[in-house]
Amino acid sequence: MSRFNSTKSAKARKREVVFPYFPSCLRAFALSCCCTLFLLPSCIQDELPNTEADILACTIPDMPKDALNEIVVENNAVKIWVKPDVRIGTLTPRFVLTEGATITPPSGMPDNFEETSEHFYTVTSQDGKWQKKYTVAVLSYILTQTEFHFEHYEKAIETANFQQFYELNGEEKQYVWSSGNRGFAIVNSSVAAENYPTSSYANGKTGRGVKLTTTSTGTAGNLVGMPIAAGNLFIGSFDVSKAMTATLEATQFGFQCKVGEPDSLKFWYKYRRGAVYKDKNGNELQKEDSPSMYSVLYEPVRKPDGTLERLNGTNVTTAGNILAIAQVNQADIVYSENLETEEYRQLSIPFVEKKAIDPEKLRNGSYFLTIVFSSSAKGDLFEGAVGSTLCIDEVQLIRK
Amino acid sequence: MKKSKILLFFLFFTTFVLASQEKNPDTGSRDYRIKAGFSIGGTSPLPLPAEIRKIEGFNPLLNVMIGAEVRQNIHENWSLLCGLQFEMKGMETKAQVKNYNLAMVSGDDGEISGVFTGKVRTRVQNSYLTLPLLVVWQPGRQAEWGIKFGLYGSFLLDGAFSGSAYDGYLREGDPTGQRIDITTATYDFSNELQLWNWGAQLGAEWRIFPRFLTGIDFSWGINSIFKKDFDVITFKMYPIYGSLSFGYIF
Repeated sequence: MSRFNSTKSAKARKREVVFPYFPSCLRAFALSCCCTLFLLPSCIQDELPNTEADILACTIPDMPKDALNEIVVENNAVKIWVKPDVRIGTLTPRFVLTEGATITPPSGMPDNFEETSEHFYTVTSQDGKWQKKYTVAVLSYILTQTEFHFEHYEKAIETANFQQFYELNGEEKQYVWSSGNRGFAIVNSSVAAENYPTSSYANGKTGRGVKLTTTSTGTAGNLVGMPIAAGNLFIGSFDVSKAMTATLEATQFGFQCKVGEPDSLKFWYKYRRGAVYKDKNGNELQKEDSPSMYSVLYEPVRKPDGTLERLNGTNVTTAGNILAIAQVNQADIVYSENLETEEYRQLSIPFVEKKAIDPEKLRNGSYFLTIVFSSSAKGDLFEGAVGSTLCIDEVQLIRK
Repeated sequence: MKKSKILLFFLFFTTFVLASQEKNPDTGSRDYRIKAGFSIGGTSPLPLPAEIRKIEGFNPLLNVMIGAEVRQNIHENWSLLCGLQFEMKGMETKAQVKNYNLAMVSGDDGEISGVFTGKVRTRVQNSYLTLPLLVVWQPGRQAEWGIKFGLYGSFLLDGAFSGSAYDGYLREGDPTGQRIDITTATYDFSNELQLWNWGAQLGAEWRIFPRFLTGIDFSWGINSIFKKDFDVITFKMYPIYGSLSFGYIF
């Protein structure tokens, strides 16, 4: 190159001048790296005011002692479960809110819960842009009926199509049956009601029944490591906030009951297995799917805060406080080829006593009862065969 | 639309090369170089949106670059520089976010969407075919160093933009929606990446030995790396990278 063909001394001089530039180039580069690494984090903007408007917790200091079973805070409701036959008058609910949020009527304001069981509260977020309405209600369902026909259902929430069943106690709707449908709606809200894992079924034993189907949760379900959702139906409630982190604890089993001492669980069913049985990671296993059908009578444990602890998916068939359990013997199940044409079959599962049942507690509603059906017995662990279908109708609890 | 853009680009390029091939003894020397180097930087919204609360980790990844360029001297102080290079622009970050818009999947196959508060890991690994068109200023015709600036156009050869949201919770739809705790949920927006990216470039080069060259370059993306109709990430993301390269002059 021509410019380097100059005299040696000039070249040498030039080198002397130029060489110190080289480290400065590197310095500039290092500086720029530092900019990318450290300038960006230091550009973190001021935190915006909170946008959430949640009731995080609710306590009722003036609640009569031992009257409270549980306070459940949902996204738009606070359910104060009390013992049946307890007279509730004026209560002073106290709320813990999202930081900076405000509530009207204010927290700590006495309210008469005797005349109207439902009270409305509005929470406004710290930034003032979001508001959420809460229904605060004192509830005391007690399960007294022993026959379930599944004729009543309705669309459960605004944002998804799935159905929920309810029982009628006179005019009052009692939502004693729950399912995991709300969890399925997180990943696949747009599907039609009948394509949810749990749905009302026109072709019941008598009138309508329930259809439980093990369903693929699609791409979104796979991304959160929950490839399938088994159809399930149980007496209890479903805590959707835990649906993706603590799935087994999301299913809260049982309601307080006054149904006498159970002798057996009787119901009509049809069951067809899905073709390919897979585990949670999508590996095919040489196993055949089977349904689960059981009922548990238990005495809930009272927690230190005075509320009752229900059984959940981790311990519903194994807990120490189970009094009696009726579980199907898998050998008794007859499998269907075609659900539409085959007849329903009746099963009667006897209760096995695990602990002595106190007749007094049985009478005053201290015990909780749950009945559980699922289209895949290991569906709670995301194991089973897509397409496994269990149809259920005319469930009866036979007393001794 | 896309085809016409590609065409325009190559038309521009060939015109430039042809024009620079017209020999004129007064316009000074021309040299051809090959070079290789590596880049470090980030693909980031600018300025950082308030949703990002803290950067917890940054991994620059190994972004290599190889290319060829031609430099045509046109004036005592000025040269034109045109090149074609294969380059990678990638990084991995961990950030703490609050009220971050998120959708895991869109389409018929279901989706989880809403506002996420928690931690987000993002991994970008894009490789581009890049054509820089630069003007070089040098102190004199014989100078060993120069400052260069101009524009670049990049064509995405292979793109990956994925990550996961973890240790947090999602509010379905908006901040008043149902809260759903999330242990980990992965996302992949690789198919939403814009095929073309262009931006500004500023750099300096220095001839350390007669045939060896070193240079630094900074490039700022001017259009977002995502397609225009992509609205899951509510802010635009721009590639901002610095590179150190070494070249051989023929």
